[in-house]
Amino acid sequence: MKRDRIDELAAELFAAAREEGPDRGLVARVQREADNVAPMARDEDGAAGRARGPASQRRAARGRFILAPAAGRWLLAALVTAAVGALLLMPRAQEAVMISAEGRPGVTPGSAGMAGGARAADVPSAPVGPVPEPPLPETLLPETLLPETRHPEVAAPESLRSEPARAVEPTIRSGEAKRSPQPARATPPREPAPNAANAPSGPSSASEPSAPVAAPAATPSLSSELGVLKQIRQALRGRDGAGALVLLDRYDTGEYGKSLSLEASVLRVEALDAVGRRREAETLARRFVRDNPDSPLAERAQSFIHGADPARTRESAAP
Amino acid sequence: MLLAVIKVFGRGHGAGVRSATERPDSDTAAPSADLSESLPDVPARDFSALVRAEIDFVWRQLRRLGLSRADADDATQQVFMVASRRRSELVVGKERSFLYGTAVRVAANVRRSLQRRREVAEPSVESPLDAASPDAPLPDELVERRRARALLDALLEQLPAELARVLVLAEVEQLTLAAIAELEGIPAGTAASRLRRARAAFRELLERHPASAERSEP
Repeated sequence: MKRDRIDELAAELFAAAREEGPDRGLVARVQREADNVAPMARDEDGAAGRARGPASQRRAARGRFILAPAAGRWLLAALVTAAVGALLLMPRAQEAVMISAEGRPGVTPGSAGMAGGARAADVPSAPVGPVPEPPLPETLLPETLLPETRHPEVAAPESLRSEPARAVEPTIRSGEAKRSPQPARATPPREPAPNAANAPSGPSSASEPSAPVAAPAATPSLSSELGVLKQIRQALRGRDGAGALVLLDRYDTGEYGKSLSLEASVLRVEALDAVGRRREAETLARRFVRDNPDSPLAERAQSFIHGADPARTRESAAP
Repeated sequence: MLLAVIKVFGRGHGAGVRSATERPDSDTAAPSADLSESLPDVPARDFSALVRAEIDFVWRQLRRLGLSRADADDATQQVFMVASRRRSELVVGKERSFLYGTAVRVAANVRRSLQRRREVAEPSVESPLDAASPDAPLPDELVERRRARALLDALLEQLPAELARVLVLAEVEQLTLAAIAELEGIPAGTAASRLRRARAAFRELLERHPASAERSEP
């Protein structure tokens, strides 16, 4: 009896709820608002991300949060690979250009080979990376900038050129280890590879004379000026004073601008000192300190007066 | 190598989108083909039709989820705005699931914010202005129904939320167990047991309520 009445009452309650509905104006309002909303990107997280049913929505949301970082990790990995590749290749390519541009009278072939070997050891994975070389050295070093001072017998370019051969060596070895391990191991790391000239164009191809060289910028720009000064500094750091002087001569033509000429003057002091023209370096340094006593560069120039110390020179040459 | 990384990344991303959209299907028995193929953006015309078809359902759910008429109006608007923003994710045939899930969430948010402001003394009480539509029933009936709804909401309020939702879908919307299971995103067996428990609990609450005592002595 009572059970039936309860059922009846419940049915009435549910029926009352069923009959209820929104005002008709709401439909128009909702449609208007919905039309004004621009569709959202698929991966944007929002209320509807969990709007598939209270239980499955949570699973879906969890899945999305797991997937999103996975995608992010891939992107991050790609970016890190590109950045590391660029960082590793850039200084090497520039140095290769600097070394090949100028002969290095003060450097023996053996030590140059060691330097090249050390550089190759620093960058073991470089030839594997697909990252293109930064074009900076080529654009800033026109062909005319590489005068007759280039000495083909200087070991540095050769040792650099032999890098690709050594770099692909592990690959060759892994492929031919069982058949003929000898040819691959026959080349000690420090000796220039005999077939180095035939090596495929690797990261050091910038040092090849046949490499395309861009003409200097028609109008001097600060970035090109900075680029030249950077190369000069790198040459000095590599104890390539002659190369630095050639670059400084080129800089003094004003082709790249003159806004950093004070910096260039000090670099010339350092370059002169590096090639052993100490007297000239000191004279120039005195003149610089006299003319620019308040310049922050005066201190650097000062260090070359009263008998320039090569150790100090190297320190001050480093940026 | 970089290209390969990008390729892998792209593939992983696509798989993520697809699995996210396919996931609801894993609850229902129907094994589906690649749903990303059948996921065109819902055109504006179809979306208007969707609004007209589902607005009553959404609004009623919001009301039974404890919102006043005015709040249900606002929440309905919110639900359809979300749906409109995410049109591209609306799977044909599953729009109601999407709307229902969104409504449950929006209602919870509204109630939370109302409670935070301590403005919700009796969320389900209807104001006299609520029945201002031209085809409104006679005042007596109106009062009766309004009281009935207030009682229903009071009782539903005392049930666990998941039981109350299943009960409303079954008794108010008169949906099948399969439909309830799909909307709730739960297996059909779970839906059945929840409905059983919900009915029993509701009856018990109703029996204890003074309204049933009134009814029992005519």
